[in-house]
Amino acid sequence: MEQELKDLRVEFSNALASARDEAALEAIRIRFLGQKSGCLTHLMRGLGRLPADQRPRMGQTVNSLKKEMDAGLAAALAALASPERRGDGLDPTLPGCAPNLGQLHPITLVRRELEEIFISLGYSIEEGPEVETEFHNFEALNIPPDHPARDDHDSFYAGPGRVLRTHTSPVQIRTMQRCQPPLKFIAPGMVFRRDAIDPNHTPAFFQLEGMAVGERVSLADLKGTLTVFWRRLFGDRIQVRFRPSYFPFVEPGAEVDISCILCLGKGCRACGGSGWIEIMGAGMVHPAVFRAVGYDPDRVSGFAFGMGIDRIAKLKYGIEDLRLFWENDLRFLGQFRNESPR
Amino acid sequence: MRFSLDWLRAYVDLPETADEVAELLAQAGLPVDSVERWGADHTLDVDILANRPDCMCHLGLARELAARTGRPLRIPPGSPAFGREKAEDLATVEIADGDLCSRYTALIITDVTVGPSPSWIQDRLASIGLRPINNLVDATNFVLHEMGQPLHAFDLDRLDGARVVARRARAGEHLQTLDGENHSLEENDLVIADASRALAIAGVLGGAESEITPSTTRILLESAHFDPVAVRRTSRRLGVHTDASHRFERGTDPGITLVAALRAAALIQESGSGTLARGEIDVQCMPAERRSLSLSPARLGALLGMDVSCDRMAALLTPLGFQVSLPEPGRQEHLMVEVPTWRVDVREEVDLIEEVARMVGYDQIPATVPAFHSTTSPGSRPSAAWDRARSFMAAAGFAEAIHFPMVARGPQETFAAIVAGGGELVTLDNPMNRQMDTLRASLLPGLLDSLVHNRNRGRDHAQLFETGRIFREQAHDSGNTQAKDLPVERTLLAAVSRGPGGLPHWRRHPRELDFYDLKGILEGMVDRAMGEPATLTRPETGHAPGFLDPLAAAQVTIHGDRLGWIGRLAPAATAAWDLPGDILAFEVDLTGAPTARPRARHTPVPRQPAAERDLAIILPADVRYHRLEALLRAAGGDLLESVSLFDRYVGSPIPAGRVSLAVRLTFRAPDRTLTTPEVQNIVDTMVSSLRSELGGELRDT
Ligand SMILES: [Zn+2]
Repeated sequence: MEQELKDLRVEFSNALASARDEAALEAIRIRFLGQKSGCLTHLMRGLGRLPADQRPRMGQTVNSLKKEMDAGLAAALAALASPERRGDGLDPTLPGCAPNLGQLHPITLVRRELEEIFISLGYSIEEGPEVETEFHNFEALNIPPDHPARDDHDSFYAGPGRVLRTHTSPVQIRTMQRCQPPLKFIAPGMVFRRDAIDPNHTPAFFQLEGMAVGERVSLADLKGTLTVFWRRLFGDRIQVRFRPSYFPFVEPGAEVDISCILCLGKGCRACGGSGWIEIMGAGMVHPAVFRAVGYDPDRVSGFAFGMGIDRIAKLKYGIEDLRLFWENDLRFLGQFRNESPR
Repeated sequence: MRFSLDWLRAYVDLPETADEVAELLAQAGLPVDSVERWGADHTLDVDILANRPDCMCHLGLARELAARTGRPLRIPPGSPAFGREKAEDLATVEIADGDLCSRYTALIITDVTVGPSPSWIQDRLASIGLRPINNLVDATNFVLHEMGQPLHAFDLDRLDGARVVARRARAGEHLQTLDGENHSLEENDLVIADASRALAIAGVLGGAESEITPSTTRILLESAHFDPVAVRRTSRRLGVHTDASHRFERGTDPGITLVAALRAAALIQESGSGTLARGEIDVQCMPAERRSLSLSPARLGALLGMDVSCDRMAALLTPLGFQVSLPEPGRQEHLMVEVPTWRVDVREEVDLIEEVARMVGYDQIPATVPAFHSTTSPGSRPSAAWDRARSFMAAAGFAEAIHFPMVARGPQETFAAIVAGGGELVTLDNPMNRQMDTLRASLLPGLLDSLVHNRNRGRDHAQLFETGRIFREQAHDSGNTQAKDLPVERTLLAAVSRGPGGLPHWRRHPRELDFYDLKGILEGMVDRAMGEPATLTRPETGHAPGFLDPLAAAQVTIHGDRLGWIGRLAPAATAAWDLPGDILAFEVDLTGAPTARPRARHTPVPRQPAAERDLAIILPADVRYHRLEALLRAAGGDLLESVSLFDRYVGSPIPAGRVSLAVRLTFRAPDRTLTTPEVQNIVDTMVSSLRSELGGELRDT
């Protein structure tokens, strides 16, 4: 009987494969599953004649074959009903049925892109708290109380000695306190300044900090690293320019410009006609910062840099108003659906 | 800060155009925000950073330009004519608090007639946007913008005892300043006083009572050096920011007080009046310090990645005012550099290295890439798990949102139960407004805000998620009064769903996402992030958090630790948002997620065929599915590969109080084909424990 079942199954599937219309399917149904003379029906009636110990097992087998046949017929019927099988044919211009996909926020997309570049250069990613001690946010970074540089860091305070970090630089301090040189890491994250909300300011925004500390890390290393980084991000034609600048936690300090990604240096509205875009601050780690974490500035040197993730996203996607990042308007977010993270 | 190009040209030859000068300044680290025409002249708006107060004047900027172009700097003349009276006979000066005032220079000018200043002075001031006032005020303003030294003129005849004292304010002391404000002073405010009262807030603002008036004939001209920190504190506390305080708090040149005062006296005399008493009064508590620093060429080479010869360093530094002694061959290897008094920013060797780099030009420094291996496990990223979760959520149809962590307190008190434990909400001392005075303890209120934002713009249905930090104070024992520790920060992922996922379509009208849809998404997301599955359980009666409907709430756990909650938001909790209908949500804590993706390991795919059995089971309705599955797995042992529920039915002909469940069981042995009796035996065991343990039965028998 087992062999009979196997044969029946093969027979059924052959018949099904050759059926071209509903009438043919109905004929197959009657042949195999018909109430009066269906082959399988016949077999099922025969079950009663089997020895009692075989009955349950064969019953199961016959049952599952019946289910399989029912399902096969139903599927074949459905296939015949589909437009490409019907006489009126297929209309390839009808809207297709796409899966419903969401999307990542542009800030996430850009952050991941930046992270991937630094990971490929051997950097790790480090984190720190968003509510920081004033020590980590200011003092250890060579910004003592009553220092005029604090004017650039209009801060939110959350209790005595606690500040919403105004930059990702305190992660430099925490990582150096936890690890020993040589170090190469980046620290992306949300930072806070008490700025009124307008197209260019939001009280929270995103930075990416980077640092390399070792025995002979030089300004030349900083220049090379950032040049590689910006060219990976925006292409080989990007020029990178370093100008002297001042941040209390670096010396020498630099402001970094890249050639405008829109006009490649010719001058356009986006770059104010200059061909250059001011993009980030950088420099060699100040000895006072090393001293604050117990490193010997006579033995190690290092560079640090910081960039705005929002700013890069603005540039990359041509966004003019920072507030859009925070409104979560689906019409805005949907514009980035094809930006897959690398 | 606004500069006149013609004024700069008074001190250094600049045949360059205004734009070319702007470029020279930019290369020196003094970026020019804008260049504008001013008659035949040009004005430059230069962004002077806090470390270069010496460049906050035309002479200082000209010095930079002279050094960069290799041209000489012309120091302006400051040689007034002296009269016969001796200054010390006309007034006395005392520094009572030398820690706040290191030097106080005073000139006494008599026979002054207050009137207009010469037109060339007026023109210069006008070119940088200052309104000419009179010969005395204009002379001090001119010197401020020429040499960077703030000066103050007192009417000598209004000084009690013809005496000036630089001292700390007395408790309860008040002063009415030139701007008409009445300030109450504190002990750490430095004031300039006469014999009886405070006359001026040192380095910030003068007082009304000693002010120059049209009838003033004798003045005491103050040119002092005040402590930067003291000036900054006082200026900030009083909320008074002036040209003088701006410079003093960044650091003025203690060496220039006399030169600047004499220059101003000469300018006053140019307006046709004023006799300068002989012998300036110049009280110095601390002589102007000229720091001497050593500069090692080897260190410079290592830090810049480029060698510079000693001679070249000397040639670069000297025009900036540094006095450089070259190393003596065979005796020492470093240069000794004496720092000019105006360079308050140059304090250690690296500052000199920056000066050399600045003068060489950053563009001349080579570009290399460090190749060493970091001790911070390269490639490790704490955010990796959260990013896996984010990608999963996006693929599941959710859009990623971000919100400010500064939020209104009220909703947080409703939603903050998400994370187990945790202390008080964290509040801000100086919020932007009441609506942003608390740090969030749940991401859900922000997501609800965004649902409303989108609804108001025609997108009534939305699926959103956010991954971000939440904040709670440490849960301290009460009575702990020590300084606050940092708050506890956790990284959460929250999602909200309102309405169907996707728009109606001709072949498919997407149905509203329900609890089980969201559960499936949550499970997939948690598996991606944590590398292991979450368990959902109904909370005991009365233990569901208030923001969830207790009829549709479940706790999410891993190994018994609560990760968060999933369910339907309680209408009472969302009443503040205009969002009719059901909102499903979950919020889970992913802080402990492993940073490295669990590495997939290949195991051979099974070679033996599987045996499948479908069972239709009727159970009492109050038996949770997980008990059924556990029972089947226990009975199935290693041979039971999977259990999958493919139908669930309640209603006729199933008796009330019972539920019909259809499960597919897949059996497989790794080393042989299972025989039918073997499988049947297992199924029989299952059915019998189903009866005895769960009160269930097979539907078909
Ligand atoms: Zn451009």
